[in-house]
Amino acid sequence: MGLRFEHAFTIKARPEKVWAYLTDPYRVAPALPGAAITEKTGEGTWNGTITVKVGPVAAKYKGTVRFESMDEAARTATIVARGQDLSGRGGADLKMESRLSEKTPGETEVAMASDVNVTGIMAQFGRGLVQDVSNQMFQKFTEAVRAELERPDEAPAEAPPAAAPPVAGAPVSAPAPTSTAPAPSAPGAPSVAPTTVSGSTLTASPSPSVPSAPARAPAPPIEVFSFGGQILARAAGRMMRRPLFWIVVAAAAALIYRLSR
Amino acid sequence: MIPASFEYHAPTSLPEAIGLLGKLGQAGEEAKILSGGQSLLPLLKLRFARPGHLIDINRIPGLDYLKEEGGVLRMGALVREAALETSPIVRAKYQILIDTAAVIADPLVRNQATVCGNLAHGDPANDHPATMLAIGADVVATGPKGARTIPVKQFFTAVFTTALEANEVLTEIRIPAPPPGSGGAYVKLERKVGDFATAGAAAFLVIGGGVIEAAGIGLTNLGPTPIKATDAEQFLKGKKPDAATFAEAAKRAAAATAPNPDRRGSVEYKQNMARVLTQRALARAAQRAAGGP
Repeated sequence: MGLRFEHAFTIKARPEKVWAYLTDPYRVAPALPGAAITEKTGEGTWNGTITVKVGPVAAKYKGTVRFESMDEAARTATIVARGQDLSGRGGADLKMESRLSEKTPGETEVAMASDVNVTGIMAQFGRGLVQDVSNQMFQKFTEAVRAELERPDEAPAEAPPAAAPPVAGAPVSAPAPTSTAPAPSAPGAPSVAPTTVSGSTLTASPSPSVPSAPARAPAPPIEVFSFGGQILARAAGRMMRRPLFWIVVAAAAALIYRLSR
Repeated sequence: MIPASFEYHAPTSLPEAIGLLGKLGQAGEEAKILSGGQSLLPLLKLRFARPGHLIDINRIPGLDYLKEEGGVLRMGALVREAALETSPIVRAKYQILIDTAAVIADPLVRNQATVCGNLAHGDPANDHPATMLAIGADVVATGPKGARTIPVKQFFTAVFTTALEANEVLTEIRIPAPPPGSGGAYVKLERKVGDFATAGAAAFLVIGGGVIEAAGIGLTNLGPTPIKATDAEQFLKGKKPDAATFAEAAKRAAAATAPNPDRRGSVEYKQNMARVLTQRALARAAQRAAGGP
């Protein structure tokens, strides 16, 4: 069954910030109810899953997402996704063209036009139900995107990409506990949750909402191979960029020096 | 087809059932409550839904009460549609419920199907939601922390989705006893006996001093959720209950619908039927308010 959806929404954030977010599947997936990215398979392609739940009926799809085209200057992108239902009851193909435009300074309009083809069980529900479900998912998606992007910046956008720590503004609440929810474990949660978005899964992305350039490539101070180690390494890397951390270390060192005299 | 395999639980008390819901939910398992099963089991048999667990509440005693007390008709989770049809209180005072029950599926289904289940399932094509919206009922949801009352107008939140939490059971429906000078009716258009509604309209009117004091209109299968036609209801307040008023109210009710086109009809057809049925339901409700059949 072929359907066309057109959705648009405005968000109080600068286009660059919205673009960086929307072109990073790891950051966007948690905003889409039931979706998760499992791995990157190549340049611009990822594997992922999405569980769509309509009351008692749930269908879990597994498939691929890729950017067919991406034009950063014009801020347009075409995403192609296709998935198969895990129990073999059908599939879905999606081609979505999105465009960002600056409505007013600091406000971005996101326009998305999608062509969707649904086969199998969800198609048997009829066009109307698929439309209703899609509207509902889109609503939750925009709420989640707004919640993520309309927060005040935690650091000025021009912060140099070196390890210079963010200044002044309160240090982010303890990174260690919140970073223990890595993206690949998210599929376990959406497959049983109804189509509500758990905002906390945003922490599943490796980067906090500091400008993505410095945060996306932190150099972990320790080379570890275990998965848990990677989490700790990232958390440690973040901690080491905070001035407060070094102040505490210096104070502790001074105290120990004094006490040992 | 037959359902995909599931674990079957038959608790003998409500706390046990709620405990199971909570425990299974926390373990990430999907569990559904089985009462009449007349909406749920077809989904399982077609394998549209594959809950890993069914919690059968039919063995819990004391859930099938249907009684009027303190000016409220209270019905428990296991009141069957057939019980409504044979109850003397309902036949005497709540004709709108008789209207609704009588057009649900067929007698075999009505012997098993429960009124609470009809609401909890969340299907916009079910008939009782529109009636409950028109008469201003409340539902009681019982969870691990106790019971909470939800007005029915806040109960249907999205397609197939209700305000019930995953660990709650819909245990009671509360309907305020109709005041003197009131009447209600439910009219349904179906392609064949027992079908889902092409369109369905429930109307409830309180008429006093020759004018409509209060009105409730609920619509079936004309949108992603059962629809409360608030614009039409507001319009009716204070007006005389005559044909012209009902015609205008029916137009407004139809304008509140967003039907999906399907084999039952196109959007235009369904909206027109919504208008016609609302008009008929209002006329019937006014007739009953005046003491007629």
